[in-house]
Amino acid sequence: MTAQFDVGRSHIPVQGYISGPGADQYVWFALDTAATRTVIRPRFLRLIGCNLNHPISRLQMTAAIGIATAPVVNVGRIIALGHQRDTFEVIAHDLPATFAGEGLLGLDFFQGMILSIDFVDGLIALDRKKPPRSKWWLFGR
Amino acid sequence: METPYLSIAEIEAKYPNEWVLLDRPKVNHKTLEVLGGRVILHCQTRKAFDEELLTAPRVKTSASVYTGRMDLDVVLSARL
Repeated sequence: MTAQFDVGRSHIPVQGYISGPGADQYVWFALDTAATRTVIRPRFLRLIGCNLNHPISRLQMTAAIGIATAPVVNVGRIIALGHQRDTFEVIAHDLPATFAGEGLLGLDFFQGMILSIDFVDGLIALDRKKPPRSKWWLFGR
Repeated sequence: METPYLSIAEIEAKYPNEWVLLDRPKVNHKTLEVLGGRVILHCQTRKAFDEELLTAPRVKTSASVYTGRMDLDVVLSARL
């Protein structure tokens, strides 16, 4: 799927969907290629029914502002750029109040996919890897 | 009392530069773009929005939108 973004903006907003044990949400993410893991604001995770008091684990994360320990929880489904991940681990951590989105889409969301970002025309594409072309002409040799 | 359905343009005009929580949003299911919904919460600051979320009515499907420009300069990243 290909989506457009405004190259004049300071980050790449991506419309997304998250479902939890109790509810589901349409939210804005920022695509963050410097983030190895996907991060969601804790208040929103609680809103969709995630229990942050009983996380799968706690991880020490290094952010731009320093090091912090944060809970890791499963969300039932997360969808963005036409790609869906089920039972997906996310980190519950606050983001700056000046950031209008609810989370960061990290590299873990894009594992096994081809992510293309065109900063000239403002296009972002997420695709599955195409199978290799069959070398039918080799069989005739 | 249930609030009326508003389009995203109406919401942006009525609550400019605010964080808004919508109940039963209408979305474009291909792009996930939010087209409208019923406003259940709106705040002028993110801090107030986060606080109000704790007591907001629990709904099955909602959408969170910011009606201003999402281009504030912030440095984001999380690395393990």
